Amino acid sequence: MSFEICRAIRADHPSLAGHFPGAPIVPGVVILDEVAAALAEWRENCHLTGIRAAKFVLPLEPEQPFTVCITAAKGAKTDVDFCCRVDRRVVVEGRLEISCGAI
Amino acid sequence: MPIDKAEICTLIPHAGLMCLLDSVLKWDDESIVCTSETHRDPANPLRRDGRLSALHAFEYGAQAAAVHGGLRARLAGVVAPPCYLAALRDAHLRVTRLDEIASRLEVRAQRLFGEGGNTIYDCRVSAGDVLLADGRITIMLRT
Repeated sequence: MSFEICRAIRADHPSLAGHFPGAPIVPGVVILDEVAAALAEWRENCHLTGIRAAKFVLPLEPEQPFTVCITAAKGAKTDVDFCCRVDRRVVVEGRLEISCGAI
Repeated sequence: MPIDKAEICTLIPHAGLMCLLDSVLKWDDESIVCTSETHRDPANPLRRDGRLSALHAFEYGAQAAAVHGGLRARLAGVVAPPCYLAALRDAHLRVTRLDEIASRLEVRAQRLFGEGGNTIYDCRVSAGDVLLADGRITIMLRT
């Protein structure tokens, strides 16, 4: 059970002007927000309740297309694994804790 | 004397609206307590579809850790090296959104381990007595 979607953070994203001036890098939390949005697309009634681990391996640049892959974690119903890649290179990966049902 | 926003913005590379913290209430070698009201600002640059996810509490926490690094470096008479958020662990979101929190945020970062560019902080973001988000962040030297 897994879900994959392609995303990119546009160069005019409001966070980029100040993160950082003249050297825009997509903030890690903005990438995680995209992962959370992908999760909501995959499982409509699920939302994020925690991040067991997220490792930011490489910087993501504005306009750089990346794939978000979410997989049901083995052995824990409330967990999903995620990985964001540019081409085949991992940008961010980790494990999320989710809750499904009414918020 | 609390440290104000103008001074905070000189301590970290974040600029403009991405400089999220408003003041430093207190700090020592091990910890820092900051406040912010920017979570309710409609122009907060981390909003997505008008909402500010509780995930962004960790950007507030990371910036508190960066300010702490900047203050420690300044006290030591050196310049803090550029760092980035390398990892987030055991993070809990006690709410789903921050923009609906009526009172100001209190952002605490406690240095658990490390020096200079490679440090682990325990971060807690709360409003009044209510804990909103907590987790451990790893800050590393940008190479």
